[in-house]
Amino acid sequence: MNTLKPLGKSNYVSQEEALRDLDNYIGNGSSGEGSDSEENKGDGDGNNTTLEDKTDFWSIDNVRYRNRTCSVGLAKTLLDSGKAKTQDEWAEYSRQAKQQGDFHVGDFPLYYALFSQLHSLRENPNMRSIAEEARAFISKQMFKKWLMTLTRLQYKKKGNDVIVHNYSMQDRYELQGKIVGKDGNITSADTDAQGTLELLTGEKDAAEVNEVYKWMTGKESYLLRVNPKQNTERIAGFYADSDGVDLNCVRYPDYSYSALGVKILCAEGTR
Amino acid sequence: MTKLTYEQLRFPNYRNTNTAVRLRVNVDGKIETISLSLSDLVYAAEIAGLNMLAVADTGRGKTQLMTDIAWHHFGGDQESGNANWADGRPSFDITDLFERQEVDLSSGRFDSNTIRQLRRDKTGRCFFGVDELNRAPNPKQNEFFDLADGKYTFDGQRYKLGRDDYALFMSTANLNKVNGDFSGTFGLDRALLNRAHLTLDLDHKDFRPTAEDELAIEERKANPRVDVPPPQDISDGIIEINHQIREDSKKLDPYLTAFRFLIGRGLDYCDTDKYKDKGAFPTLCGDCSFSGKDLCSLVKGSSERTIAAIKALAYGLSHIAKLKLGKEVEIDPFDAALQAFRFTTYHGNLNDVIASDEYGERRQTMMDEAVQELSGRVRILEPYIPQMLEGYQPVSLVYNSNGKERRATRTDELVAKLDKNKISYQTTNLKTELKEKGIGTDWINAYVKKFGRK
Repeated sequence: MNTLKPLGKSNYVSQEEALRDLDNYIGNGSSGEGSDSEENKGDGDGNNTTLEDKTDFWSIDNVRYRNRTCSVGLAKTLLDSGKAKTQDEWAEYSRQAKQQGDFHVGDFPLYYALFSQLHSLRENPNMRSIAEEARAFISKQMFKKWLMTLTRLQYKKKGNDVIVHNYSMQDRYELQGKIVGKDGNITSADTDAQGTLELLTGEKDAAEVNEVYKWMTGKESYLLRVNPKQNTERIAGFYADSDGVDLNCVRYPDYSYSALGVKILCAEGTR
Repeated sequence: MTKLTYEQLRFPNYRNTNTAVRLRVNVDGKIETISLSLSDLVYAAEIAGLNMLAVADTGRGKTQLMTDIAWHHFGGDQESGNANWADGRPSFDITDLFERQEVDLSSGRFDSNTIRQLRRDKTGRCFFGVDELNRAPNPKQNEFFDLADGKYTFDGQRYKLGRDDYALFMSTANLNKVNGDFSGTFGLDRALLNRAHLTLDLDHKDFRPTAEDELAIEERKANPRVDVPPPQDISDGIIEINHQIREDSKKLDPYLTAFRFLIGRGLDYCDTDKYKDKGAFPTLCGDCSFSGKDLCSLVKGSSERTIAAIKALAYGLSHIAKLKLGKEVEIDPFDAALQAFRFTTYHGNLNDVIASDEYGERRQTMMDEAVQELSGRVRILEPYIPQMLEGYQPVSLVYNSNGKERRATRTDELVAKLDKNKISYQTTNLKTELKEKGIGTDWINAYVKKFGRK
């Protein structure tokens, strides 16, 4: 018996299968991947957004992620019953889950984009209560667990640091810049967090990031990162305690943590 | 089912349960991660028939490890044993090991052709261990080439060492990588190093015994000397599995073949070089501004010898996992190959400048980081394999359909259908992606031609 056999499930489909699949494609909201229809477009202020309470997840439209507008699902329970795994193990879990269309771990910018969109809906009369339910769930998890993301930080002794989002996934992407620096409240000028925050969350306005997490937890945000410059690899995650919200970029990759489940339900503008 | 059991392999004295290798396995349809210890790695190398070189500072258990192999797996070096043992010393002479002189006094003749005899009882043994190899000066080290190559030339004729095409060579060397403070030692010959299919750096923090191991050893041992266990010869079982591995290794596996191209021709490529090869490695790598140099500046392409060793060790690891778990397992070929690469790629393939400046000569640490980078390249390659096996060039369309991510070969017809359905997509190209990451792609057309079913 040949004991070496590919274990990962491939999402590759043959040409015949792909064409047949598209012949039967119904381009509506339930399956409308990448549709240009106006109903999927929002102006970002929540006016055209929908936030739905599904049985086991919340569906949030108009999430701005990687220069796209996405509809994102947030699971109502932690992934894999709250089990703690290393980032490598979550990446493996997520590769398989994504191929099956299941909830998986997201990168830091996706979680932030999701939280930011929920934040923008907090005053919307039609969605306020659902947004509050989702916020309460996330906040509870943040106070209970250190939450893993698929963002990995490669600190470099020389030159730019590298931030790898969607680590070990097919849609992995890298950004370069300065991550190393002082720890501190992200709004403090002394912390000089703006550049790092942009790499980490996609949002460079520290006050805006602070506002989102403060709405989530009632706490100020604190950035933790490696200092001084050195060659080391760390993972990014977030949690909250009585002192504040930690945007944590210093934990080692062999530590195990739980994760929130997300999935991109549909996206536009990927082409 | 093979006769060999995991219990038979388990070392009686050398103890090192530190996790050296982690592998995803499919056991009873469930995918889980298993940990293999450094001892397991050594068992895998043995059944794969791969030469080993254990290097470390003094007191890491190198000699105990080799003693356990020689006595517990190959019956020891005595008359009935299946192991040869030599100590690297200036006085070492390989003829002492394999030759003898026999004089027939009754004939009254002296014939130089017949007086020298080859000791077939010694050359037919399966294990050849040399302790403290680098205490023999370099010209003497040359004598070990034959042992490492599994042959011995006597009287103008080349003889195979070992039995049933199986001969295992192992050596140890005292190395203080930073201070080099061992007097009476000599540098290791580069060609000999390259013949060590596996380099085990027992100074590496992940390969040292755990604190629990050290306590267990301390409790058991009455004196600091090496313990010699009672002889046990399980070479029949080892050779039986080795033959299976050799048969499996002969077959062209599309995943292992893709991996061998990645670490061979792929890593011989230099994007910024005029001739697109690594001729200037590592001299010009330091100042290179190529964005994908994270891997290509660390390590150069592997030799054919290394590539064969990786394949054999990958199968060896899968067999040991099976023996350890006591049931059939399936291991991902890329995972196994990546782990094998950590140990089988000759440490001289690494960038010496970076090894010294940034890693303080901790080459296994550097190798592990190179493997981490290589793993990223493998993840780029992996999703393209199915379409190359269908005979298509690796250019894909990635899109979502009914909430599921899909990947298909890019064709005009498929693009038209996606456009018609207003489905967004991304076009990805393996050659472009790999080149951006410093990996050569001149093997891809040949690969598609060989494995493609179209």
